[in-house]
Amino acid sequence: MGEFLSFTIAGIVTGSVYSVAATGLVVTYTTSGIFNIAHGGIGMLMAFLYWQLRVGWHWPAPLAMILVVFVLAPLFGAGLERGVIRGLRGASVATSLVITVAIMVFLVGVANILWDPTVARELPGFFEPSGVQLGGILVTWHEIITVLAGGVVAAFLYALLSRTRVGIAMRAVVDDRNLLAMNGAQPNRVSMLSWAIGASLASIAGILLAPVLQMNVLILTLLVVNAYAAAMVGRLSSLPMTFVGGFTLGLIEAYVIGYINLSGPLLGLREALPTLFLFVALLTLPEARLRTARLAGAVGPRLPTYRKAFAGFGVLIAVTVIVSGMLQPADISRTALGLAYGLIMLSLIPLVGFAGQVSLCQMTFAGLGAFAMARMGADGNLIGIVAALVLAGAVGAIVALPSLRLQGLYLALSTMAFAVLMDKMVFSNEHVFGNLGALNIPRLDLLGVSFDGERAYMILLSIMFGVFGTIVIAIRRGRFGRRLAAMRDSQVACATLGLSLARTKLTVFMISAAMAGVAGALYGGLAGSAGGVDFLMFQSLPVILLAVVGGITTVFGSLIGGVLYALLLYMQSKFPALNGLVFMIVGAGALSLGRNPNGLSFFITQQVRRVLPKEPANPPAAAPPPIMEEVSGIAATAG
Amino acid sequence: MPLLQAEAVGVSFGGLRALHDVELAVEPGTVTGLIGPNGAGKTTMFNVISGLIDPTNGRVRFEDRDMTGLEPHERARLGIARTFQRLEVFGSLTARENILVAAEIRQGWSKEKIDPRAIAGEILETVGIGHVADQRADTMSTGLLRLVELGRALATAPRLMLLDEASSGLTESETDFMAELLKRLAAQGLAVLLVEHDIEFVMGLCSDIYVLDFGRLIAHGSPAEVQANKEVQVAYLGQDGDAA
Repeated sequence: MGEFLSFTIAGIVTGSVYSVAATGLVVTYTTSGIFNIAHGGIGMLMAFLYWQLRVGWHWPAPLAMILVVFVLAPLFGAGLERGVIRGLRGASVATSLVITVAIMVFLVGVANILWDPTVARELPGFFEPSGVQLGGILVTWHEIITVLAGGVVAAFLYALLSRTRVGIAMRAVVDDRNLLAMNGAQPNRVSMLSWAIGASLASIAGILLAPVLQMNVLILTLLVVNAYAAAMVGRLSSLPMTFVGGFTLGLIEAYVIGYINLSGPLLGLREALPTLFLFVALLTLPEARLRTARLAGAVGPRLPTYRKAFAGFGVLIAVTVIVSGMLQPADISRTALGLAYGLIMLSLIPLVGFAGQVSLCQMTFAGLGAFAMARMGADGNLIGIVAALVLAGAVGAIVALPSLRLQGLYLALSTMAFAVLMDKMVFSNEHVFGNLGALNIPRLDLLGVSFDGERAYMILLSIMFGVFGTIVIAIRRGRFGRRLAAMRDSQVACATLGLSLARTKLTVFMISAAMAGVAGALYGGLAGSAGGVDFLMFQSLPVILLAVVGGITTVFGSLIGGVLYALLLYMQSKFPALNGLVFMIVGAGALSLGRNPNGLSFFITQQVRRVLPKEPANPPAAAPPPIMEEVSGIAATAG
Repeated sequence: MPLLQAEAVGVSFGGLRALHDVELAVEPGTVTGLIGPNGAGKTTMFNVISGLIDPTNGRVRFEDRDMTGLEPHERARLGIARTFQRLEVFGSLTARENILVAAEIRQGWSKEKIDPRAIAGEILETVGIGHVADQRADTMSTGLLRLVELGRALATAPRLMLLDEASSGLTESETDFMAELLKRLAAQGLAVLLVEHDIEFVMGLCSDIYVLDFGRLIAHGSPAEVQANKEVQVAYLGQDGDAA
């Protein structure tokens, strides 16, 4: 009984924190329409600021608390809304997800620069270790304050939403965004306020959780996964149900830790619980109403002809052959890394660029591919590649299935949670990547030709880039690509033409996962060995962000993205102190380019076109004039 | 027996009642009008028929089959096609590709053997947009886009066509063309249900008209009957007469 009580208390305490974090997420999402993946990142940053004041500069706790929770966090949230989020109104779900992921990555970079991650920090709880006895159990003041904070937040939100003008306006948005504007409220002000409140709630959660967990940038940033798992119970809109979700998750976690012996393969179960919880919650969600699209169409890149594409791949392979001949072996593999990352990024193009869906676990699929290659591809056997394709594709199907009925946002959230689950439960398991944490990954042998040498392998990678690129272009030019473009432009129109959206999404997700698996097998072969730590969720984020920076709709964009990533990693290896800077650069790059789906590849090809003499065979009329405003204008007035 | 029959369809959004026990029937080979002032629930009714919204009460029958619980894509496969008041064209595709992709989707679910490219070519001519076939849709005028949407819907070989504001944003000549086109399609056996603002357009085209006001059906009958209806004059024609 005493045991049960102590577990229950622990569950209520963590449940309070999850609830606070989750409500912050819900408030921002419902009022601004943008799901804030960076919510945990904000909490992390604020917890570190609090640590700086409290521990670093010895401020009294209440003063530090007030400054962070009531001044710095709200200012930060409001500033973020004004500077970034407001510009996302009307953008696709994919774009706004990429932008908030970029914010998160940027914040992680900032935190790593300001607070050296190799230094251990501790944040004391409130009045630790004293507390009060409750039924024979010591409940610390920190725990009591945590629960009280949850209650205060609930009361505050209740009062705000039901007693104040602006609160009622906020609640109106929950029901219908358009209704709010019609009633003359100011959506901008409401949205800004909600982001201020959301950031403040994130800071409370971060400060309360940091003493219990660790002052670790990534762990605190991942709080967002717990938060949205809890918020899913409230369908990302109901605050009372969000509290129910938060407490349920907290209690389940406490009981699982308390009653189940978490050792061996179950060791990572605790961290995996939010994901499992999320998947169960997703299954119970009702099907989303199909929304009508706001944008008439995305500015697409030119369709490359096969002839031009093959010429491009020929140049790439030729350049690789020449360049690799001039480099030292160590530099060859560093350069080849760009191609390997480019391959992984290519797997994102059909999914993100063509279909407008987002995956935040592409490195997880790459890891599965590397694992399959290590186990099945002895001596570079092609079976290893086939196994990588099948394994990653099949797992991709399992990840996507629960959320396919729902909007694209839920798929993206599932992939992120899934990546965390794989980090904690599978990739860290000694049965997967061995008890040394790494497996030898053979390099592919093709038709009796060995590619074991550094130079040969780099050339193989460039050939594979050509193969993947051709597949991507074939998809784009073919009937399936047309269908994906149609689905991205208007899901609702596709449905009324008889298309099963779920099946189409499943297909493209599986293709993308399978491609990432094969790319991962080749990527693993480049280093020769790989372990679970090479395929963590946080490594998927720079990959998708740089793919967007390069240009998520074009093969050329993946090459740019891959080379950029290799360059940044090279910089980082030369100057380890710049660790955080790489994240900052990636985040900032995606923030500035994330709204243009054609990314850098667009600017580069435009510059090249300007320099090169005009080809007579290329009619200039192909450039789409800016009629988009006109179309969306009509859509706005016709309503 | 009517092709489409709505039986006491009601829809509530939260506390707001958007539709109130609406009864409606559409016969094959006819153009039926569904009119009413702004916010009367016309598009909501379309959304119920095409499966985008589940009705709070009542049911919709298609060929005497209860469609409750069928997904939008399943209804499309039964032969229900629609266009959208706020255009839902595939902006990044050309006009031809818009229709082609619809025909290809149909090829995926239909038992008939069809040639999507040939169908796309035919439909481009039928709806009269052959001259802009290879232009990207997001560069086109509203009038052309209404025709693209109509062509795309036709590519699914529907038996019931729901047209949401077929003439809005169209020039006078485009409106005339649209009217002729709809007459021709109906003559071939297609059932058309038309939501419209343009009264003249509806009166000239429809044999049967339903009038909605605040989610309630206030009149039903021939154009002459509807025009003579006092309630209609008060609710709709009176205020909208100068606007239309």
